[in-house]
Amino acid sequence: MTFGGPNTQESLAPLDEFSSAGRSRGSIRDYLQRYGVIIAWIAIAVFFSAMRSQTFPRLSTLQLIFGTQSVILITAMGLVFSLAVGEYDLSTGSLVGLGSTLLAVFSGRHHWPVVLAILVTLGICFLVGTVNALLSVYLGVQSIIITLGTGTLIAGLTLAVSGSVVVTGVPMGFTNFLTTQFIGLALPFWIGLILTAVTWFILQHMPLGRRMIFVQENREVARLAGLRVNRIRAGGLIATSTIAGLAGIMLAGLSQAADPQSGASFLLPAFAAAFLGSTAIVPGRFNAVGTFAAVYFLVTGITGLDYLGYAGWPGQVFYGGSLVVAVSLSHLAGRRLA
Amino acid sequence: MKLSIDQPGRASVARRLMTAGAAAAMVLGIALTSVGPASAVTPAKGLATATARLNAYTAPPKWRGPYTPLHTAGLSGDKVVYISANESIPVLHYWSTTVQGLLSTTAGIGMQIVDANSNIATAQAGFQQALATGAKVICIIALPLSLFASQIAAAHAAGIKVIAVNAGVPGDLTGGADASATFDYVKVGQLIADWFISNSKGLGKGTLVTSSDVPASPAQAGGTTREVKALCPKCSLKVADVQIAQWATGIPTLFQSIINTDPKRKYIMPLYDGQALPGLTSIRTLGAGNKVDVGAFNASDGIVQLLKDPKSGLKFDIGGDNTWDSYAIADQIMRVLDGMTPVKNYNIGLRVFMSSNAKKLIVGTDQNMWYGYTGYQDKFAALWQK
Repeated sequence: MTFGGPNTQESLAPLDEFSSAGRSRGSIRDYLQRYGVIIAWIAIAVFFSAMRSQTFPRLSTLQLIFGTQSVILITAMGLVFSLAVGEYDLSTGSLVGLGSTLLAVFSGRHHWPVVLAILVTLGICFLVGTVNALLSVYLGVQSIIITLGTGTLIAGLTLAVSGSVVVTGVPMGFTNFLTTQFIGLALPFWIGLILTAVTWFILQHMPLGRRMIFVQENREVARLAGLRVNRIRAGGLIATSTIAGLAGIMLAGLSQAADPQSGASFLLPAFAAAFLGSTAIVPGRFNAVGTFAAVYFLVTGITGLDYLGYAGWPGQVFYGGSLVVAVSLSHLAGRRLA
Repeated sequence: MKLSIDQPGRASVARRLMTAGAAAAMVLGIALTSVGPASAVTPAKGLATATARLNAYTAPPKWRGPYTPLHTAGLSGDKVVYISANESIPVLHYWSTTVQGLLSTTAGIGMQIVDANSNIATAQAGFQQALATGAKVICIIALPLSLFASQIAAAHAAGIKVIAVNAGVPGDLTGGADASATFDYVKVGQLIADWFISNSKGLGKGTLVTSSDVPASPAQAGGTTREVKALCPKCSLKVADVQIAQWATGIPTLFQSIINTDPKRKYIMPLYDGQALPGLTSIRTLGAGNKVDVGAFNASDGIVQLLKDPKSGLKFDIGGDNTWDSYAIADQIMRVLDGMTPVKNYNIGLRVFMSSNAKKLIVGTDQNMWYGYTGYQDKFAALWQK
């Protein structure tokens, strides 16, 4: 396997070659590691089905699990792009809020056509991602610090743009479009699923995905190998911001309104899902399928707790606990890689 | 109030595990709780009482005091420190800027707003600012006074008066406040219960979604649960607690879980509009607007409009007149500065908006007009004498 520069030929070996899974393929331990999250997902689904046999194992529960948290799925999938190149984007939640608010302001207050409002919103989120990239990649400040700052700044600007009130007036036609059911699930889920497939294809079957892994592994070696490291890092941060904007658009479209403060709530679930996802399918790597499974593992857990009557703090314990476990497992997987 | 958990499933081992878990949670006092029927009234009488109480608030609110004038002449130059829980919250920002404007134009009082930004240390620093700047009054807005015991003691020692603003119960000075100015959150909670009872003909099954980290929540949730207990022997009400940090991500699954686990439990009552919005989104996403009746408090512009859309699931929203509330806060500050006896209850105007009257009442963007009464502004102006 060789890493080529942008203009060189590359062999498209399976991604497994970069992972621990590739070195110990076929063992029970390997399978447990690769499919641990999915096994845990099935296990908790079985547990809750046993506990609430009359209500949990139903189609309506599946619709609930897959249909109500698409914003988290899209946000987490966007986050994978920056995490996959070793960057931490803490402005993601604020960008969800910004995207949501801008769509509502443009289409609701200023009565722009929805398509134009969406394009301008995505464009602004793209620009924010570019600023993040310029400051962290080209100026050399750690992305975790830069995005903490820009995230706070964006949260403030979002309040300013909205006038610190819930912004309404997102056209009903757009909401009706988004809530159109296809196989029992609304459009945002399918958008999230398509995004998952695209992310999976990029990360695991395109040269770009290999380059991203190489950049995450060792920037200096990647640079010496001829990769445009800064461009790849910047691309990861810009993709995260733009996709967060898309998540915000979904949020406002479904609500027909935008709460300028709602974005921050999506940060922890998205990070929890991305880190938990990095322990599955391709252990030690941020990956799309693992993140998808992790999002719905978490949502299934929260839903099951709701069914049992434990709304509220148990959900936070579940999210936070999952994140701690995921980071620990991810760290262990990384040590196996080294 | 009786605590209970839904009946467990069939697996005995799992049932034992669940029972143990439930017991642990009950010991902690945190679980989905159930308010059992304990009413002494007959169902018919309870229904009639609830309906009458609800109907009284469909009409425009009326002035119910105060009636004692105050004198503003000697107040010019006085300083007030106003510690707001979080100025990013729209209604808190509206109160602070409106009160600031009223005090300045009416009496030349300087009001410094301290945005605690949901940070207790920053709020505590506000007390230091008050001491340093020679303020005569400190207002604490939507923050529990219990967190500031030593600061309040220090303020009192320096001769500074403390006013609890929108803490939940009018006249409640628990925690060391010298005065209070607040919506009557207990009444708000009662009215939500009255709607629940009246709309369900005294047979409703519902879930009250509280948020124990908001200071006014216990007052409002208590108002609802007590009213249901008192007036509706055949109603069933459960209480779930979802704190602010989880509103956006936890409420959507909770709402839909309620619908899935017990379709007859169709009344969902989040305390505030901000809590309701994420749940209404999930209801719309799953096309469940006709399966639930959601009722909340605030009647904020963005959300109360959803009453006009049957697909939204929102059927009831109580509004509290925020301008009236701001006048009441300003009035109380001036009375305290004047050395007068504080007003116990300003009876700030409330009005109920429902799917049935929303198209008629919610017209335009001037929220003051929705209540059908702005006479309180002249009443206060008449009380504030030079």
